[in-house]
Amino acid sequence: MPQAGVVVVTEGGDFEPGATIWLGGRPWATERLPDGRLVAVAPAAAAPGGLAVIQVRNPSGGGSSLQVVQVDVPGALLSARAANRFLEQASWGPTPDSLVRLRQIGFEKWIDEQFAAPLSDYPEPPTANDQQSLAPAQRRFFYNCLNEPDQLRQRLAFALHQIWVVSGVKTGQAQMMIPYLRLLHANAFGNYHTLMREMTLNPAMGRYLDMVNNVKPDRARGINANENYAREIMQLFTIGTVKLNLDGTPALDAAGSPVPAYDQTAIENLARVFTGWTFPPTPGRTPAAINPAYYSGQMVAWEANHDTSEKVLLDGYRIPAGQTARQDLDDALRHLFQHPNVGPFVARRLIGALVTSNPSPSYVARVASVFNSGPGGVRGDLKAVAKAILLDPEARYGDDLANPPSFGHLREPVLYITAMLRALGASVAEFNPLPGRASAMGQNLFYAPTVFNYFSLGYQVPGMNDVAGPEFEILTPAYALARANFADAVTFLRLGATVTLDLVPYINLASVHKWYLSEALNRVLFYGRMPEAVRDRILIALDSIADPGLQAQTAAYLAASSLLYQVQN
Amino acid sequence: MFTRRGFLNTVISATAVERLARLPALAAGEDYRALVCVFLFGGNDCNNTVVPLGTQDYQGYQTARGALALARNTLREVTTPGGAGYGLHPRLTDLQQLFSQKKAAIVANVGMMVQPMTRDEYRRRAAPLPINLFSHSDQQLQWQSAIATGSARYGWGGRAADSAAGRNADRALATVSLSGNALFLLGRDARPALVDTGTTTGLTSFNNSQEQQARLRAFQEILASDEGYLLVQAGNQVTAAGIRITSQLSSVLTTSPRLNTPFPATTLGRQMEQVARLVRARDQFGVSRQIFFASLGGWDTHTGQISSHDALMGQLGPALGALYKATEELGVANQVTAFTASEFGRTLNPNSNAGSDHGWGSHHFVIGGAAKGGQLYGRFPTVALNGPDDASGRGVWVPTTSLDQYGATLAAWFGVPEQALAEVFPNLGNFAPARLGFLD
Repeated sequence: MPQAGVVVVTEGGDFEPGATIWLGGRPWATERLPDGRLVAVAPAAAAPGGLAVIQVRNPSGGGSSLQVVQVDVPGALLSARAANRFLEQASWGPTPDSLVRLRQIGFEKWIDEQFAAPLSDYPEPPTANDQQSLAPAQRRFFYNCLNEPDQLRQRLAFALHQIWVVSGVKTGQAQMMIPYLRLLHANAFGNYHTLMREMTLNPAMGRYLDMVNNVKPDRARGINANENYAREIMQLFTIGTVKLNLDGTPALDAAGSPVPAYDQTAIENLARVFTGWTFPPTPGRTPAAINPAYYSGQMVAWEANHDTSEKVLLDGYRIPAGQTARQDLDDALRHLFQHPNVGPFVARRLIGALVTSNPSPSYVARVASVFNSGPGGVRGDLKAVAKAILLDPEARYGDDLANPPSFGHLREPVLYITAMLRALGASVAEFNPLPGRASAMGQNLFYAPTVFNYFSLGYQVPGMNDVAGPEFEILTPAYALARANFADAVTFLRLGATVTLDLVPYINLASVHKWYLSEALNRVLFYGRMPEAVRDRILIALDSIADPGLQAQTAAYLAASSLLYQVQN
Repeated sequence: MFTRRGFLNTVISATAVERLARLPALAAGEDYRALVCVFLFGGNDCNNTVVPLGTQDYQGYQTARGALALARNTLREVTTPGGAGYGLHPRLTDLQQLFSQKKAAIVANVGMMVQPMTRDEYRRRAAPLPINLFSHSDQQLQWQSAIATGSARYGWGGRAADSAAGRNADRALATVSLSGNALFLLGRDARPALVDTGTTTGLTSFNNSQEQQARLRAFQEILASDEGYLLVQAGNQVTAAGIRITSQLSSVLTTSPRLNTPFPATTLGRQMEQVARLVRARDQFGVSRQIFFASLGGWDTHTGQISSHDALMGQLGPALGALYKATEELGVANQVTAFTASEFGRTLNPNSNAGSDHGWGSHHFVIGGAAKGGQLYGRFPTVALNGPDDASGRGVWVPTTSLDQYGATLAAWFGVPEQALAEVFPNLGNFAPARLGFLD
């Protein structure tokens, strides 16, 4: 990430030789201009929310009075609020540096920069004999979120992981999951059709949803093709159970009822399409009908195990008899990819992951249209889809105005962790304890309980009228307290040496006046929207606390633990 | 009861003490009934849960099941009054025993339906069907809501609790989920308390210093701010509930002695243990009609079913057995009824990975002193591919008992008045009889 700097130039030049500029509670290398004025460059993080205490100190002791200054981004194209909101949606959360960059170049250029950013990676999986757990991959995931520049790619890859779920519950070894995770990164800016093929032939997916070693029916022995992958690729990965309008609402028949997108017969036929595939051959071993488990590369076909009879899929589409496993698979995936449901289905899910659980139908329709026909008429272009989601007027509405009541989404634990740490300028090392914290809040990374994800898209917020809130499915009372406890661990520095947080700029503001502390947090975590009632509660609590350090921790805890922060809006 | 209350005053929070003061006379504990729903997420393979042992029946089963067939001599045999023998899964020793003691009943071939339907009617699509049969997510919600078409906002457990709410002095623990958010317990008014199976942690690192108390107070006060945003409001409510439940539960559960009945240290065993502890504390919580929701996942056995199903059954049987023993220990065996639920059964016919695929009707257990046990209710399907009960040709049973009938029998025992049963189960009127008689 390019580091942004705060350039400080004093107004007068009447300083002792060796005088130093202090900003945000720390001294910075200071030079003297020919006219005697002093200049220094400090990192953006020294001025949280653009607020910092500045002072010039003389080497002999003493110096200027403390002044609170407001730091602006010269030539900014965007307001701080707009930039913060956008980075909540397009990255793992704004950082002091990413905010400056975005405000300088604007939304579209920022997205294009992201398209070109180098891919972050996962640690090389050990050999198949080495049964390494997923822990190193989980830790690297958080390291990447906090440190690597390809933020939008990572966010999309994680959203796609929550559609194309493979879970460590069944494939809980590094050598199984890492090739799958890499495919998500590699295809996040690719085409959905390619992703469908890559996921279908991925051995971890094959194992997870039982396509691997799915042998053609053996009528004599009364054995049928395994229906699991056939069902879930339609229900969960591409089209869903009912026919959809372009805007994602169910298409209704004359009687006003939803229309099933497929029936059991289609599933049984598609299950036969997906027969004949086995693990990729282990290097040095002779390929066989049923290869031993091996997870690198794509599954391979063993034609004798493939059902070559005719298959009838959706709406009467026929795959002729006599084709190879690969031909059948290509035909079936092309057929599914062309289904009119895929656009609204994918649009709805990605909007939910990035922007809001309750998009208007017209927002879904606009994004689905881009999915159906992106630049150059290409269908399924995920770059174009991401851009359409992030630049849509509905996503950007809150940059200036108050969003509708059901807008936004509860940050799932992973996102709550990354956004809070990034906003507060934390440093996170590779060997971090964050996977355990996510799990304590109800999201065991890469271990979704079932193929229905960590939480299901259709989940409605209990007690509310048609308000979707998938993430609320894992917000139990106990997990809600675990979330507050996480804010406590961050702000009171209880996460150990691998997660460090510099609160000195905040403490420095508190030492001038607690109001400045509350204002910095208002700008960093609330984007200037902290309700006065909340600010009052924080200031009242700070009245009982004398130490500026404890004041800063208390205020940061109260802001970061509040539901107004926990809900991305 | 009086001595017990005297003891309580010393251990529970001030608000709970106030509630005790408001308890009506009937809260003396003996007018208590609880339902415990044990949901098997993924679709339990009924065909290896209850196996017909008649010579021809077993042979038919063995032929159709192939590699999935359980050997006859490993099954736990039970006999119904009519003389028909059934073999329970080898790991269901506890249920075999409870069945023979008449404390457990089997309800055969239960499933989601809109109206009664024959196999031929299904094949001709001659009558309305539940939407998205065979889909996990849809069938899980339908089993929990008893709404076969369209989307449901409430569960049938929640509606039953709404209907019985007047009997509870305090509704905070009238519905309790041991396994997270579940539609089953949501009612118009009923909001399930979500309880952990472990020790309740609560908010950490607040001590009694002035600074920490100021922080804690502010944290709680900020939960009142939502700026009109519904998701913020909802999150605030859950967080506030967390603080409330933690204080209520920790004061009761950390001070009450452990039960003598040993519980297995498994996912389901721990949930059953927590149910038993909460049942014991029913007077402290001012509740006399209570519904619990517990669950175990992993039943979607598409691959290598013999071993995975064996492990699951090995959890289910002992956990249900321990719950029953604990209710005996607590003297409420006749007042607590546990029952199984699952979104669907599985195909009789195996697939190419030695697993089974999604089915429809399935067999279930009802356990408790109130159960008219030792019997099989409903009609057991003809276990044969393309037999008279087979919807698809793979041994997918068209249900002969609807979820509505199964649930209404449980709800009526629980205390839902006759006239309210149709509100709890909107399709109940399509089925006869409305109640199956497996509970006293």
